Amino acid sequence: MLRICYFLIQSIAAISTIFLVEFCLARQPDDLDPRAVRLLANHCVDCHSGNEPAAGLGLDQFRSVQSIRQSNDVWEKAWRRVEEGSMPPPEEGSLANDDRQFLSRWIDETLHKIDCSQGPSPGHVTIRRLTRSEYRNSVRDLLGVDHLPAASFPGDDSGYGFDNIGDVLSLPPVLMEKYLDAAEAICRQVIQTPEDFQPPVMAVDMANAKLEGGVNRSNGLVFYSNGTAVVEFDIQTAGTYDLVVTVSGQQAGDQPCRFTLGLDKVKPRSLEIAEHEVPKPFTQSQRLKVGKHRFTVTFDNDFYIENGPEGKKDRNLLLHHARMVGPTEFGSQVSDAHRQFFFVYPSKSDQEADAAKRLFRVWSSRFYRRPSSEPEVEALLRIYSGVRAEGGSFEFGMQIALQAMMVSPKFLYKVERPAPADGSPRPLTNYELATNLSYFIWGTTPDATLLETATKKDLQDPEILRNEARRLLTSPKAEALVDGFFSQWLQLRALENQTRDPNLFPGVDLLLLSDMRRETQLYCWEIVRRDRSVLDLLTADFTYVNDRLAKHYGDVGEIKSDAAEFVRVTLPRSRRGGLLTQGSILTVTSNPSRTSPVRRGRWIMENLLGTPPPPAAPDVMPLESQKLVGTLRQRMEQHRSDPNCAACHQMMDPLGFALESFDAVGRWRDSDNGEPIDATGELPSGEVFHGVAELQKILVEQKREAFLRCLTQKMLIYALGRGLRYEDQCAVNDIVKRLQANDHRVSELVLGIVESVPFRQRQKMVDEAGMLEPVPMTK
Amino acid sequence: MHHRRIERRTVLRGLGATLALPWLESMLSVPARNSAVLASGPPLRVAFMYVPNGMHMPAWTPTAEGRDFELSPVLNEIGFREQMLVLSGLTLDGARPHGDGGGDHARAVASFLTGAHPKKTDGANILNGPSVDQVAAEKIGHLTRLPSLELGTESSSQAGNCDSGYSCVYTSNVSWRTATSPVAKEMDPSLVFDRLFSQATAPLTPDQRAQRDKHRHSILDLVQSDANALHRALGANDRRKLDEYLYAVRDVEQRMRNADKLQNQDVDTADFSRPDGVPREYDKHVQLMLDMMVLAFQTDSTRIATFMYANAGSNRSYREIEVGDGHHDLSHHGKNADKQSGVQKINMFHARLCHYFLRRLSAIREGDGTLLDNCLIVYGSAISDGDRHNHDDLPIVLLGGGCGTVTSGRHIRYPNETPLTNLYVSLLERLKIPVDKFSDSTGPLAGLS
Repeated sequence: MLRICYFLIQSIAAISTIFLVEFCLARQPDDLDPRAVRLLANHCVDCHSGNEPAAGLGLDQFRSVQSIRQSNDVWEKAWRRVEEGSMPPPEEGSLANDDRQFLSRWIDETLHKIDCSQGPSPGHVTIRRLTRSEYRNSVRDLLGVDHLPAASFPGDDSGYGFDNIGDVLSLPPVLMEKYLDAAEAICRQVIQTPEDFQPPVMAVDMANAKLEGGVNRSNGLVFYSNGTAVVEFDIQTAGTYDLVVTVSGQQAGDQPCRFTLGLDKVKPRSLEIAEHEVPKPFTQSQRLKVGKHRFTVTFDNDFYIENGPEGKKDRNLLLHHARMVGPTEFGSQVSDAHRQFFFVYPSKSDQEADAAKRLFRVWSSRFYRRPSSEPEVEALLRIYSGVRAEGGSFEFGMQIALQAMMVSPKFLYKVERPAPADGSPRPLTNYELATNLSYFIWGTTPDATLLETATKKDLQDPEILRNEARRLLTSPKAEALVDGFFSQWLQLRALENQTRDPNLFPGVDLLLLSDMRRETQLYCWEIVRRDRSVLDLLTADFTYVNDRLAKHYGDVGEIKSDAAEFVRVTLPRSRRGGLLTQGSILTVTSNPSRTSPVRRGRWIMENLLGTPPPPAAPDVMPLESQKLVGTLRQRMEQHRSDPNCAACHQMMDPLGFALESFDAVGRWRDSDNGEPIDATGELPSGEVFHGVAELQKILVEQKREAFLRCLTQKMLIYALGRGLRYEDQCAVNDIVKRLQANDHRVSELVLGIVESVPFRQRQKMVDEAGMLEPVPMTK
Repeated sequence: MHHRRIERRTVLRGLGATLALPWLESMLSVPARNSAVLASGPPLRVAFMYVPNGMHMPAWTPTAEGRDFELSPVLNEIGFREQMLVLSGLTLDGARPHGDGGGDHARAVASFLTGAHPKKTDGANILNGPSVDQVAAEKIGHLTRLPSLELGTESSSQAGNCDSGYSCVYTSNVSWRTATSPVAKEMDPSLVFDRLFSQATAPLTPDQRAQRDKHRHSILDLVQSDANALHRALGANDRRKLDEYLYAVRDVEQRMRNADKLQNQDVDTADFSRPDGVPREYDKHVQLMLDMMVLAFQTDSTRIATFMYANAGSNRSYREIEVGDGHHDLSHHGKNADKQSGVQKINMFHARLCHYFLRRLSAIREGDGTLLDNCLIVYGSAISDGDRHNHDDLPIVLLGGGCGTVTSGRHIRYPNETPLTNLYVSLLERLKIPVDKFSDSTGPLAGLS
């Protein structure tokens, strides 16, 4: 029993926080705990001292808490080794169990103790690049085009379980290349230019042509003798059009085929085609109003000899097809996105520069998420003028300047002014706060309303901030939280990487896996949308399934709907209900060929309880390799009898066993390999449960605070775009209290985060100056 | 189904032909351009291929040394015995825990080409080291249109913790431009194709291209001054991020300039269709990515490439070869014969795909020999036995003729603890990039020639 679970440490630490704080405050700087000093002296410094300490870790040079904290890299390692039991080595005389626990806890507290009496501290956030999805959403909301090429950007790496961490997001050259290509493609899609303009083409339907002397064949209208075709068509937009009719002639006699082409009431033109059976286009240009129009083709020099000297001679005309091309004027039929972009349009050339300036002022402010400065507008104007000077159109000049906005670091990064060098906290500006708020809840750039609030009111005012946050959270756009936060927290994104043994799990394909993901997303979205208790995430009695998924589960009733469409179903209490019973999570925590109670247990510890177990010691034999017999459970119990494994597995395994009633793809089962399923378990703290429902009950009752704390931490990481540090515990404490006092509503969690000090303020990172570097809180 | 087929000649004409020729012939047709290169023969191409989860070593290491080594089951799948230098006994010290505990898979990938010991962090203060491919790309990347190519099969973006407190940055990137900037890899062969051949959607005429580049230069000038202004106003951590941005801008600019410089005439390479995206089947996917590497080398679009068969600790199952269990799970075999045989099957499967790569390279004539003669390919893993997670006695094989700078067809056993990075010193030497030291190297790797 040498290893101690984080869980135990944390629970002890939580209970005694108040005492510790007082204890620590009372401690003199040079006063290290005598028992700890004695243990270090007796068990560690023999090797870890002098000029060449073992493993480079000298533990003999420390006289004060502060000196230990300054060398935290050394002590972090020492702490980990003591905690996992690998140091001191057994041959050095083993450390008694309570001594080990004491020493481990003492190092932990010395390194990490926090004092919340001064209130939460703001922390530092490294400048964050927009993620792939933030980029795509922002472009969609700014310009009204949904740009799929963003999917070709390289994947964003994640840290702390999320892909929006500033420290981790990088910008390799290949991404810059793709930003340039994307900007070009997007700008061409939004801004239409005379350079690129191609008038729309519409085929004219000739099926209802009024014919005199001609016949309607599959290849067009055929005139074997003189005749006329009158074809009607509709025009939706007024402008100049080219009517293009394609005809061919079968030549005979001494004249070429001759016909007239008329459009509306204009006098028909007489035309000739000399080629034999070669289709040729003829064009008539004309201004047309909106409404019905018609054109006329008349064949007027038919020729026919049945039995001439050279046999049969027959001159015929074929009208193959007709198209309307137009309006041919640029600008008569622009897209909505184009119209929306050019809220001013110069009607004369001497107004162009002014219009361009106004457009730049507004658009750069939208792209940079704050009012742009005059020099910034001037710089864009210079790019525009450069294009214009070499003969590019007004629109093309705007297109190039818009590209520059889109690859500017001011758009691609969430830029924040640095905090004061003296380490004092700085409140975010209104615009910085608006940006963070919008990307947190909506995963996209602030809308006009939010920017207006930022301009006119003080977003640091708690009430104004709360109102804006509420507005965002109650909008349908808040569904971005589901894909951004919930999917990452619950590791749903890993579903698409799952492979399953097709012999064991036929029919489990990408479609089904994406159904599973969708189920959990819709479930989370309902809890957000209805502002339900976050505890419902674990226990709610409903879910969403489509026909395919319902058939896969087999125990959620029949779905009478389109195969792909999801419907909400109420679940019988007995089996399913809550995240832990959903296929997504049950699958993502399984191995390709079987369930893994250990992985499921670890998943619960990491993602629901916030107490990730340390990795197994490298020399520990995994389950399969030991000579164990019996059912999976029996083999695991034997494995757990090894004291090296026991401490953590005592927690992980029972948690995982509770889910054994579900197979590796989330289906209910009563037996595994012929053995009946035993879904009972007992936690180290004494709680006994039978099956998943009882486990869920324990999670939302006895373990409620741990769950609330874990969820808060995870969402705070996502909201801030950085890992948490020990001092963030103070902010987490406040948010958890707020949740507890308000029925655990989702909105209280989100608002609690938004109003927290780390969300609203920034502080210069002290470790840059070589001072204390606090360690990340989660391991 | 949309199937776009681009005739190579058309592409080259249409794009202003930035593709270089298969070597030699092109140089001969423009003799004045670079006589130094001409005199020294076809250029050396270097590739690194990473296999996750270690190797079943009994099926990898030949028992005999020297010229008379026998092909082990895995090496037999790679084939090309006479183009093979099996290098046993190499060690990657950076991947060892050094007091950081678990996370050997993340460390193995991060350290494989850097030799560094990556800082254990889930995000804050990412710190590794520059990788050998990027060191090379920095020195010789300007000679080709793309300085280097980074390829893989699994996206960098993953959910959750990647490996025992290590950020996913470490588990999914072998290529690192600097200690803090990984180089993201491409996994969609069609996007690689677009990068190689410049344009997927709208082929540009040389004039259009020149005009576009001119506009891009002015856009990049502007954003560069934006970034410089920001840079001055930010703190050190933020500056490091902006440095990445500025580097990327300069790199793209440089490449546009190079594109003008490296213009060439038409070249007859076999027509190759633009891939339709990522195939469902793993082996087809890998083959297409390797095809892209072949094309890149063949057209001398780059001389440096990396390829990851999968990310660190990958637990995919291989239904193609009827291995239903996850690779990582299997690799913790605990000497169980069934599991070891599963690992061996996967090792052989990966090796067969490597054989495909070599076969393609060897089918392309270049100068007096084949493209494979002018390649050096490091194939292997930074974990030896997946069960023990040890980082010594690594499974490493060097493939290809290296422009005659290696004597292949041998198995060399080095003293244990010989740094893997010594091999990188030797590679850099052969790329005419002399370095005294790379990471923890103790000198060049003896006996390759």
